Amino acid sequence: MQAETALGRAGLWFGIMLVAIVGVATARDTGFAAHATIIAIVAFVLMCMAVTRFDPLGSARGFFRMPEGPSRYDDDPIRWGVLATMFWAIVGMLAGVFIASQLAFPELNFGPYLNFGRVRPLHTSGVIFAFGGNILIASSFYVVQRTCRAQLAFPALARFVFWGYQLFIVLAASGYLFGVTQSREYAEPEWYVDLWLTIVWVAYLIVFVGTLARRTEPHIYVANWFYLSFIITIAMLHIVNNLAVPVAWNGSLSYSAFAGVQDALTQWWYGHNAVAFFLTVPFLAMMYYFVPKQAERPVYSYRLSIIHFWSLIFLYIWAGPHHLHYTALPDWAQTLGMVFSVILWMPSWGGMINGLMTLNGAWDKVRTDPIIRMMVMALAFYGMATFEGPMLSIKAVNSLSHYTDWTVGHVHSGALGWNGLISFAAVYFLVPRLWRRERMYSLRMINWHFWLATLGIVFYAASMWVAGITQGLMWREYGPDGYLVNSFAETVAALHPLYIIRTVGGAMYLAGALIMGFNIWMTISGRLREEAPMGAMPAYDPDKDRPVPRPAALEPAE
Amino acid sequence: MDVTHDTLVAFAKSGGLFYFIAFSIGVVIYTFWPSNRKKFDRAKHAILEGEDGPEEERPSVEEQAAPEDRSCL
Repeated sequence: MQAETALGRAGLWFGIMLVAIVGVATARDTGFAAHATIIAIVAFVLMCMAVTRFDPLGSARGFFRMPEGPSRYDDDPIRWGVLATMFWAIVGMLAGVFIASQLAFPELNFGPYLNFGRVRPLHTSGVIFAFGGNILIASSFYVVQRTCRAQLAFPALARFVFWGYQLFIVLAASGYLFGVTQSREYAEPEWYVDLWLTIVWVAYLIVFVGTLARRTEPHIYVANWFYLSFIITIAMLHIVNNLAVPVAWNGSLSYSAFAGVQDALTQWWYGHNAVAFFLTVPFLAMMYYFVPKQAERPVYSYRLSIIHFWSLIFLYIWAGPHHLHYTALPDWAQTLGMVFSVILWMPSWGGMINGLMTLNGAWDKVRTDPIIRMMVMALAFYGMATFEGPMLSIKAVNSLSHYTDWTVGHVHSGALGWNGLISFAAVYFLVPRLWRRERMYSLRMINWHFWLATLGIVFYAASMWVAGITQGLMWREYGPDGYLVNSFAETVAALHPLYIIRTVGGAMYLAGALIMGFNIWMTISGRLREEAPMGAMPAYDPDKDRPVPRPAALEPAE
Repeated sequence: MDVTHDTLVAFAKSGGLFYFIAFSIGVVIYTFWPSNRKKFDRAKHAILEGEDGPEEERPSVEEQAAPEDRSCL
């Protein structure tokens, strides 16, 4: 029986490999051929693994290891997710520092594969979908198990989600460098990669909802609401925005189902809600779990968190048109986007206050606990970014800021300050628990990471504010004769020093992430740095970190 | 009747408004419904005993939602 299934699997992978080889041979463009080659290699490796797994005791453990038993949470996909988070963080941030250097020193454009236009989506997708996506999947699997006191449903599917998502990232990232793009902001991967992500994402939804259904807690904790709305909404956004007709089955080119201003609105409905439901909502889920856990205090107000959730998701979905101020989009739609963006300020700050006030009575931990310090700084940046965003969406302000580096600065104070710092804090929380270590290798290095990251963001955001306002003012300056005073090249020259400062800020942020990588490496290898203590970490008892046993009758037949 | 751009705009401007107001009233009622307090208080505190064992070892709902705990606003 074992041998038959192993043979069947090997046959399946062999079939996929054959199709991929046909794809390589008949490909209409080199990008598609490269992707088909990657798939053929993956199928070949999986075929070999399927054959070796014929030995029943062989490599069943290892990459695809199943849970350690019903009395333990299923943490393996989470461990892999944390390592992938760390790896992609460094890749994505390195790409960011590289393109920032290209803007300051254009000689660094090594075409065609490493010019700005190809590396830039590698950076954005690398940090948003690879770094952010991995920590979101990993932390959601961690939080949903703990708050439901149940083991992850469908363990095999959960492993498929992890590995399938990595394949998506590799296809997307390599595609950008090969020039495979459908030119949609934050949705550059072409049709076949989009289809693959859809499959992975539906599997993710099934695992998450399946775990919720197995819960032994009567009420679903609010963090899971945020995660669930993230998974559902991203599925909807991804499918609608990527509706396209491929030119051929063996070519990467496709044409969008939308055209003109409808296409623009669809793209920014997707684009802004990627900010909302990828970069905000699930990170708030992390806040609602990890901040109370690290502070050892319950969330400030559970009722506020419910109002926060519903108001945030219902308002955010309408804010997209503010990306299209002063375009062919109807005026009323622009105004609608602006009004909803301004209203959004309230739920955003409601959530921020809920997170910060959780520290009520434990504020001394900001002084002693570098992880709490990171969380507080993340929430402070969340507050700043969610004030700046509504302000920039006001049409009068937008007429100055639009298409300038102010927008870039705004995005990065949110992404580096909020998403980055809260993710780092979550990773520092998770690593000792996942690998059963007493604490991180070094708490002082977390402190170094905190300061490098914070100062890096300050350099980045401040230089981009100055650059953006400079650009905006120079672009709109008219002389007495009614002609524009500055040529575009003159504005670029004026920004050069600011671009260098931005690169320095980005490099500092990357340096902090490298320190983190070292710290995690040493923690996993079981070392503890001898250093002056910084303060107590929250108590953790691995023996108690277990799901509630399920009655035998309810066990699914797996 | 023709469904034109203007029809949709008119519907969005009227129906959307009532839908939003009705929904937000619904959310506030759910949030402040008195019998939900126990459930929310338990959820709020349950994650902290977090790494806890089987259900029977945990304090009951009544113990957790002790009267002195008014911190759930």
